Amino acid sequence: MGDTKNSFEAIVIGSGMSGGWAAKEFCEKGLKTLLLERGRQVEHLKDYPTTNMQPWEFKHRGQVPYTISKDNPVISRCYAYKEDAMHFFTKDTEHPYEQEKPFDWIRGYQVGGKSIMWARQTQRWSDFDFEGPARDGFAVDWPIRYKDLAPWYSYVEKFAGISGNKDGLDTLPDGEFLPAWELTCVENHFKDIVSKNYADRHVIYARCAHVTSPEPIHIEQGRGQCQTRNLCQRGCPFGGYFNANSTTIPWAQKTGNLTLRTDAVVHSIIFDDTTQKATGVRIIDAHTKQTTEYFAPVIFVNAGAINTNLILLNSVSKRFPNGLGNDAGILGKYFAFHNYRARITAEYDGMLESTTEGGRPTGAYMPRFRNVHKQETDFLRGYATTFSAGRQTIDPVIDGLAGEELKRSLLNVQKTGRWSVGSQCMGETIPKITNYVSLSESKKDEWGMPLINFSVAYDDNDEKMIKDFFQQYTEMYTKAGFTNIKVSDSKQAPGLDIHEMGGVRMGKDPKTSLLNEWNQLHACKNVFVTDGACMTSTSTQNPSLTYMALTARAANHAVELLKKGEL
Amino acid sequence: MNRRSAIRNAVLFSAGIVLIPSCMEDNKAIFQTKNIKLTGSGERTLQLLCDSILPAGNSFPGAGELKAHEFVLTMMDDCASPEDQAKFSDGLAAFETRSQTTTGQIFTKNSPEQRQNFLVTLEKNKAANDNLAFFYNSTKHFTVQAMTSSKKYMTEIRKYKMVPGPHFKGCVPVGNQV
Ligand SMILES: Cc1cc2nc3c(=O)[nH]c(=O)nc-3n(C[C@H](O)[C@H](O)[C@H](O)COP(=O)(O)OP(=O)(O)OC[C@H]3O[C@@H](n4cnc5c(N)ncnc54)[C@H](O)[C@@H]3O)c2cc1C
Repeated sequence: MGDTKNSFEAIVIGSGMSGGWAAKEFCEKGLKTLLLERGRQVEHLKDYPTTNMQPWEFKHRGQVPYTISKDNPVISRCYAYKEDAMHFFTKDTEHPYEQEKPFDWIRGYQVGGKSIMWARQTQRWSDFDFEGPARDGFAVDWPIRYKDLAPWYSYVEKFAGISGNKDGLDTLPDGEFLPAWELTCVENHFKDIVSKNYADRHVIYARCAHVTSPEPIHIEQGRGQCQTRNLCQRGCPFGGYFNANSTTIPWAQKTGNLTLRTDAVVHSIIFDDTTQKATGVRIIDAHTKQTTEYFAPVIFVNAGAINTNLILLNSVSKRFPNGLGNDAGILGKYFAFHNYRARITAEYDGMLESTTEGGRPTGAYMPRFRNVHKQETDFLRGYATTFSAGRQTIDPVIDGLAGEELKRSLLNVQKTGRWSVGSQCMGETIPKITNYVSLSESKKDEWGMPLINFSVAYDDNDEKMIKDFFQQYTEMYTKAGFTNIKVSDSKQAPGLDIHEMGGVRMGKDPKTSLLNEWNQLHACKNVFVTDGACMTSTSTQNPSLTYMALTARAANHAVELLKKGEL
Repeated sequence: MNRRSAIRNAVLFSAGIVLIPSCMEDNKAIFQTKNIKLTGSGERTLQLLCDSILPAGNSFPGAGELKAHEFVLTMMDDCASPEDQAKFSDGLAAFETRSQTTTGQIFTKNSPEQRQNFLVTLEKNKAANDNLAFFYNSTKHFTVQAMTSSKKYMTEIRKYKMVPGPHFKGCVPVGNQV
């Protein structure tokens, strides 16, 4: 099977949030592991060119030059695509795609993937989430429940470093937490008002992947305490937040078992019709375009939900003419995301004698309260929300002024204004066969792979949910005494939530799903998919913690199967 | 005074800005722009306008020391659309013409009072949908930003700290923050 130089004991495709975990688990268990990454190397500390730059050192003070935003409208819509971190995002022009329906595909092709720029929100799922499809009759039943994943959530949380409070909520199970930062006065005020008025609604501290107080394991990783710089998207000189570059990948490297091959675009997985197994992968060098094959008895696909779909769809063989493992004919289908269109903002005139001190890279959070125990609204499922409240910094008056007067005004800074409050709605969307990704029929990229095509859209359920969020939040904000309440619907395309999921869903039945309860392809058991592509439903939580827990769980299971000779 | 500025001034005294052909070597702008069309005299007008918007003194550097005109040009040259860049250049020309027709003299020859009065007029005209208003508003916007995003302003006036430290306090009395 190939020459030995290209043979490994495990192959992981993609070195981002989830792939980093697969590599770490395999290497720790002693497997010679090949980690394939299409992008360039980004070494922790060394390759964070802007991390220590002061705001005034940026030529355009953060703004992206016009020619770049004009040529790359999709990536330019991402809030984090600014002068300080744009080098970590993939430009539209670098890897084009087709949009049967508009979809904003936000990518980071490099070692570490999007774990470098993520917003680090990490909330667990509960059984109210896993049981959703079965109870409400959509998608298929998840083949796992909370108890299957709970120990792996703990496992991942301890290593990554998650800051949080034990809140004792059945909708958002507690985890292994490092200390939390404080909520602000007005966040606590809102929390009080909400708990007085609604028995089932809870405002809590939003759990996040920050080392607020390093444990020995974090020190061993070479990471230190978060200094609340709030510049995480640049990569952190303290290793204060979790990314693959500072945490999982160096850990895997330390074992001596990792081979990291960058600039390797995985084109397809090789399936052997005699053994009825996948034997390896075919890569195209990103620059020389040369093809190479690598071999291993187990393959993890962690290329980010959409690229994972693309690789499987592009892996055709006699046995699988429509994509690897695609006996059910639904590969790429039931694609879903989070509804991030709706926001609400307001002001608060109370508590003006108080303010905050220092920075804080997270906020408050309200877990889903709609349709938790039973169906009670005219839409399925529900939404979680962020909540944050801080004092405004008043911009000095500049209108109508020029010369001495203007300068005096600019120097006379009023310390604080009123409180600004705001919430972002994070809605569950219902996976449907009509929401899918597929391969372009005619167009290929520069590596010879078909372009991916998107046909994903909102539906009536999403519209109703937005309306409900506006109503419920206007009511809660009003009860809290907030004024100048404004709701807005960005109408943004799916994708900009950056929580794309599905296409290779898990399920019990090979006729209606692609992956089993261990994330193995039903029809090709030595291929595992543990990134967003595996998600049967989306629930409302920021998904990465769940991808990481699923990955660690599946990788450890794969090692056991290998030991037993069952792969 | 070096030779180049001596010639420039001579030209200014004798002919005024509008008559200087832009191809003339000594009317080249010092700050290099890729997209914005800029003459040496236009550059000096812009520089003086920035200085007038944020004069020196008052114990804080003015536009000159902050090199605000270079920042205005950088932002317009790199971050504005070609349409806005054209409006900016045309607006600069309109600015020069307007100041001259109002005072009988080019802006750079005006007295500080004349310049200040002209700015007052422009502040009143700022909602106008013309190139002049666009030019003035953009210049003012980026001049103000040159000051408010400067190291001195951010650290001394806004007390910006890149590394605030691990602790965050959610509720402290106003005025007691460090
Ligand atoms: C601004 C921003 C904020 C976010 N905030 C949050 C948040 O608060 N909480 C949360 O849970 N999530 C958040 N996310 C989403 C989070 O980043 C993703 O869910 C997560 O990174 C997905 O992990 P992944 O391993 O599937 O993909 P990625 O981290 O994107 O990694 C995939 C890797 O695979 C590589 N790859 C792709 N195709 C190939 C190929 N053909 N061959 C080889 N390699 C390939 C890519 O280059 C990349 O390195 C945020 C994302 C962004 C951008």
